[in-house]
Amino acid sequence: MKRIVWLALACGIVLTSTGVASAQNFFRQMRVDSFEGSGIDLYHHGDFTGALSKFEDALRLSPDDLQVRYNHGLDLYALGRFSDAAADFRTCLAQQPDFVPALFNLGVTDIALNDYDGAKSIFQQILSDHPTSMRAHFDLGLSQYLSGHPDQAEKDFAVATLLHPQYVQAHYDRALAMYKTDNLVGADAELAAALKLNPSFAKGYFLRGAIRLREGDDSGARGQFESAAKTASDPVLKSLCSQIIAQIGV
Amino acid sequence: MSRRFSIILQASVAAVAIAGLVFIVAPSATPKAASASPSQAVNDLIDRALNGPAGPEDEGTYNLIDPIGPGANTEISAADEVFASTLTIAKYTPWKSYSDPFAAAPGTTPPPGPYSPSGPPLRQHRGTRYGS
Repeated sequence: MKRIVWLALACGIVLTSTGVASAQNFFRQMRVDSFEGSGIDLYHHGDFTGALSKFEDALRLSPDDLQVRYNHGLDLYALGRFSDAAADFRTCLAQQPDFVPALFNLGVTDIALNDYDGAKSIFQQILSDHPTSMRAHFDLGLSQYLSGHPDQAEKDFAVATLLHPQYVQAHYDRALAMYKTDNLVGADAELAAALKLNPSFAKGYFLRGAIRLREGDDSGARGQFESAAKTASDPVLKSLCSQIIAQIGV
Repeated sequence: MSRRFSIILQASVAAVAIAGLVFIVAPSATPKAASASPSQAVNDLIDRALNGPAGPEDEGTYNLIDPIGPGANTEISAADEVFASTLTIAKYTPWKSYSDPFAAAPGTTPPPGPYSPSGPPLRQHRGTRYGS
């Protein structure tokens, strides 16, 4: 009889401690979620410093939380702390190698860190599993262009435009890569596609002006730079257009 | 005497010819130099723009995959942004034909623009600011 009482008591103690532990975990997770939710909200409102503090609070409670670590990395990127952001994305990938958003963001962060070879290998890795990812083709093209390989970049942007013909930026980047490789005819055709999709695309007119100048058509170039100046919202681009127009003359 | 006169005459003709050449060539040489200079200046301005505000366009403010977690994306929807082959305003969607999201609906007034969603600052490359 005594043994049964002791056994029941032991079982009660085990069950109670398990319950307490579960409740502790439950409430801790609630606090983690609350910190994380606040951090995401602040991030979306542009308060990256405030968001960072919330993500750090969450990580103090749950250092291995993958989602929080990922969002912490995004926030560090937004604050311009690219190396720290990359470290967070790597930590996520060490925990979960198929965490594709972290892999992709690591590639973007590598571009920001001027590690173009690192970025290329990441986007190529994504494309090996998902060859129709327009986004990966586009960013691979960007990595190629920025690392001084406009010929390679042109091919990647070309695939991006095929996958998503309405993506104006891909047409523009392809045109720019073609311009850099002296394919003025091809660049002009891509710009025609970009400007058809967005007739107020200032950069498109600007690049067209540069092409016209290379072709020796000063008057045509002037017209394009004037359109660029008219449609540009960026004051630097506007000013550069005005200076170029003044240099070209009548 | 006549030989001496002939030599003087030839020298005079040669001097006039040389002076004429100088007057003809010099003015044409000056504009050439002047026109080469603006051309170089224009090229410099173009390069400055193409390495700056007219540089390769990235995906604007949404160049990263967005946050996941409470109140944000799920991990699956974030991954879908990478895999999808199309996008509208940098949000990746199943394929659909292009339509200007800011265009006014027929019979209505245009919305106040331009729309600028909140997001992280644009990234910098080689001192270059990307974006529209």
